[in-house]
Amino acid sequence: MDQGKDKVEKIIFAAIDDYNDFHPEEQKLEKNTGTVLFSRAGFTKSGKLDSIGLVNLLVLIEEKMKTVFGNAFMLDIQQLIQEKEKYLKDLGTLLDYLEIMSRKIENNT
Amino acid sequence: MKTTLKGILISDFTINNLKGYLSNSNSEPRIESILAPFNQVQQVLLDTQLECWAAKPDFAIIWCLPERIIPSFGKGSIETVLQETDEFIDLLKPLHQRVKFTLIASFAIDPGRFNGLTALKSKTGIENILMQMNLRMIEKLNESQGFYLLDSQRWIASSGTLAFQPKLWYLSKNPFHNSVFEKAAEEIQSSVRGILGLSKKMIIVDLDDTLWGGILGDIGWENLILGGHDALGEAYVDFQRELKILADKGILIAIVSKNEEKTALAAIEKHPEMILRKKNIAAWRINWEDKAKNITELVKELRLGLDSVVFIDDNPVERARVSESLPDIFVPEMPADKLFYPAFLRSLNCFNKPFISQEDRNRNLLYAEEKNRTENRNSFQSLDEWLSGIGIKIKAERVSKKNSQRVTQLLNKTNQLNLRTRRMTEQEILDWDASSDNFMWAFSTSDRFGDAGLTGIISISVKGETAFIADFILSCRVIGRKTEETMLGFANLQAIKNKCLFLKAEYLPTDKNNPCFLFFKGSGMRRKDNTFTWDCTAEFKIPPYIHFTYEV
Repeated sequence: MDQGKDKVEKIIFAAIDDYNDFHPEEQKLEKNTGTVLFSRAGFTKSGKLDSIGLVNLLVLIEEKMKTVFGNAFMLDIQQLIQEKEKYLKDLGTLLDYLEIMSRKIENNT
Repeated sequence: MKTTLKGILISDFTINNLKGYLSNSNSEPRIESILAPFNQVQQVLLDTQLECWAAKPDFAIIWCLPERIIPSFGKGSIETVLQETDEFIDLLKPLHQRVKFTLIASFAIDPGRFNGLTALKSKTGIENILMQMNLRMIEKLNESQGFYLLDSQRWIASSGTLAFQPKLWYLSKNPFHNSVFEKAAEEIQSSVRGILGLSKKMIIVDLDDTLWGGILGDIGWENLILGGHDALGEAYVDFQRELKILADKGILIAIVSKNEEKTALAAIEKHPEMILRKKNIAAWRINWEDKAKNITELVKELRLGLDSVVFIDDNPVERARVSESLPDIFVPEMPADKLFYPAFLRSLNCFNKPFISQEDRNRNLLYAEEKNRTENRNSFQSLDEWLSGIGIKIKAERVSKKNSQRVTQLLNKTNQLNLRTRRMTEQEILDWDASSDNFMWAFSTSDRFGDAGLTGIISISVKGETAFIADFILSCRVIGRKTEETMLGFANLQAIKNKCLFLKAEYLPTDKNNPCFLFFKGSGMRRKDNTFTWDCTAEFKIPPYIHFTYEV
């Protein structure tokens, strides 16, 4: 894994630690890029996040991204949730999206 | 096994994250949260048939945003706002019929909101109005039992300008950053522990570089860093001042230190800037022995449980030693910078209690009196000879509003001499006693060494020809002074008065109440397994040297 991706993955996993602090055992997220985030009809793997859970996780990730990449980093959470099939299928797709975002920030600075 | 309490969370915002923090906490007691339907505060308070009440919660947490629950807040006149606040309070009052107690978060607004010169303006300033709303809640709910207001502004202030999180609000109707919920969960846990009588009862402190700066044995008491025109000296004085505040709230202060006892006690009495003197210290072990051993002995001497103790020592090695060998003791980490010691002590939430009684204020003094009593006792041949000479006075009085606060405190925190370990709120006690077959009395003890105050409870429930002892509780401070026998003798007289033939006590064992079993075993009552019976036709003698009175 390249350095940039590795850095973002660490941020996501740190956010998951915080997320798990206020969720019961059965709702805790695994720190694994294959972790499915939300349940979808017709799919065998079920996710643990409802809409409130998704917002909580994304806000935690955004806070941590800001501390590393600066306040210019911003997530359009509403947009991400609307396009969750594309960006939030699992932690891997989210990681890809965040890595692109972080690269844009780094290129602009 | 940990106690579990069920708490219902009633709110007009998404409060799920608080539920998570409460559930994941490792501290005693465990809290199982039930979420009331989102933003239906009035409906939940009015409709007892809603599903969220089916789980029969033990307590309720109410946390509402002023601008949502009080429609005219920020818009209407102060009169309208206070009228709506009254209506909200009226909705809360019947809660005591459904839960044992209710915790209410005070109203708060976003500290990032700039209100400038108008903020506190009389009757119109938004923060002035908010204060008046909170004051109205405090005053109105003070008239009702079982309501406790928590200062939500403190949770919010500790999170700074991040406390209100706009993204969470607009996307999930949760106004607060998680750090606010974390603080709230800590305080709720601490409050529940306090209400249940599970708060810490004693703080054991080290001396050198903890209570004062410097090594006493090396520099002498005249050269200790304490007070004076010195930043560190002032911090040590403030640290002692904070300990004195805890002592005045009924927390026992004890010393365990590696020092020469004579030298250390001389420093405590002679140093002009000492805040804590011998009379403020319940007990001490000042010697060169292992601290864990000293603590074990000291706790035993004071008849406390290890789980009710906090140990404070600047030395991380001593802290690790105590923490590893006595895991039930709470050993907090100390700040590296000693100037932070007073703030560190102020931040501990393990001494929380719902009210402070006169006995609490004098507790350290009472223990000092007990120390004198024990020393005096050792010079007599027999216990009866000694007891007959110390002028014991015991007074019984029926439980009433006059003494119910102290009775509640004693009932909920006494573990050792406690027959059935019933835990009840003040209102539950008064309701229980109001039943025509139930009787509860409080006992106060004094002797020539001092007044121990209200230290005993006995209650009986009359069923046919038998009077069942529902509670038999005595503070460990007065065990062995024949108060136990006096209480039973009095209960027997009351059983006779209610035309009973038998007085029965059923012992319910816990991890801690074996002393109660041992007392009943030696009481002369007939024993079958854990049930003890006295035939009321026989007199249960109160020792003749006890001056016993009963206040009707």
